[in-house]
Amino acid sequence: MLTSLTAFSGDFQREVEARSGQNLDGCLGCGTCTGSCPNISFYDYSPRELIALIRRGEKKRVLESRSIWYCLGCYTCEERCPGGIGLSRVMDACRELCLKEKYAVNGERVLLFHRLFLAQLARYGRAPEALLALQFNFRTKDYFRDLGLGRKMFLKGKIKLFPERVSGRKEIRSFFREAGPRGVLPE
Amino acid sequence: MKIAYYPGCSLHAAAREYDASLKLCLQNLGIELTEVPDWNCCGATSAHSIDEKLSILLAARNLSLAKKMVSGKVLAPCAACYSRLLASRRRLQTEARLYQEIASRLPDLDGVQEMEVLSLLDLLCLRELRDRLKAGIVRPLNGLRVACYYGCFLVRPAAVTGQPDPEDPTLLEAVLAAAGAEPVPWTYKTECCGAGFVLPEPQVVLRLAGEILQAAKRSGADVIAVACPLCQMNLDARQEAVARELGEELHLPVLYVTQLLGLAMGFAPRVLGLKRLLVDPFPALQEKGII
Repeated sequence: MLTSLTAFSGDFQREVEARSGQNLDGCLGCGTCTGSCPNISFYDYSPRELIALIRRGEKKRVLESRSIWYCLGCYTCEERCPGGIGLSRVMDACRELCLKEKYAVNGERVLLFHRLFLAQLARYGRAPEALLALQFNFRTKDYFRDLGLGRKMFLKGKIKLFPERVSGRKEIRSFFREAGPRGVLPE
Repeated sequence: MKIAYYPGCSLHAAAREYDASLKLCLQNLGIELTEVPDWNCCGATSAHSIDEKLSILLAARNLSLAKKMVSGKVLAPCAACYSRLLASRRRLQTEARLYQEIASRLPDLDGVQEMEVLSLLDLLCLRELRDRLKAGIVRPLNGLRVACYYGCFLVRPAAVTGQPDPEDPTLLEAVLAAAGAEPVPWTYKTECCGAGFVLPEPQVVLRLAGEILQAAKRSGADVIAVACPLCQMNLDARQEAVARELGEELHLPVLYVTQLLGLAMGFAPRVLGLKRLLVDPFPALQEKGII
């Protein structure tokens, strides 16, 4: 056990560990996660740096990082981590804390996407992908984006015009009210 | 064999050809699918990204609906749905406190821990099906070089999926080789395609899909086989944009494994939805005399 390092780690590390179910003292600092990450070019801090920052208690830097929003959740780092750390759950925990405690979001487009997706889920019980694309373009004022592709997909019968509705929508909405941290749905 | 079927949102919309071809193939193999009544979206990446409990509740509702059905097994052919249902079931199985919390909100949760969640690959690789699969091949895909693409969720994390070789899986290869095709060795079969990031940050997908398509091209493949609607969409529908970005000709048809298998079983291209693919698969298949 790396007692010299744990001595530095504060409440933040424990908070992330409790939420993610991961033991960050298992990090060997080997950088396998960083070497494996397919989206590292969009990160400000590498996965290894993020873990080090969490262990140093640098809450604001971690929760306001770009990296937590640009993790693809592909599990490559997790698969290869010799310390057995499930980094995708650490990222989930950081995003949730970021929203819940109102830290600045350094990945607004990504968050907007998640929120629009979940808003549809709350509304219909299912997630109509074409409608989601339209809404995203509308909210980002990028009205004509992928218009040509959309037309092609429509002609191929890949676009469903009317979303399917689940009859248990009421129950599904209750998951949102009870389970959601602040800010799961778009304003 | 009877099995509950959880199609997920994509198989009812952009990936309808996956749904259609899968039903034909499985019927041919003697599997009876019954759709989970009133299923809801699994929450995909978005739910667990910002609200973990919500993602478990969404998955748990589906599992509890599926549990009431015939077999104790549920098939989730979309890799993202598969990943969410399976990961949630595992956590409900192993974390007593989480189970209590979810059970307090969702009545009738009892027994979901025992539900078996199967991906299409899990199902096709059951021993009893393998023999039937071989017997069902009437028009082998001779000479068709296939790059089998798994992406993330069918294999990772192995602690959840139970895949014996998450860095170099060979299940798809085994299925397609049984159908007479020639799987090619290549290096990008489990790389991430960027999935839903295509909306918020298209550059992510253009780059990742570009690398995957280039690697498949280099391997000498005629087509790519997939078993995930998100992977299919990123490699197929975005291929034109990727090619433009790379300044390179690609023309690599991206078919669902069930479309290829369906052809080998003698089904017509029309019923398998081959015309719904954006990159036209007909020239490559005609050249090999498959259609």
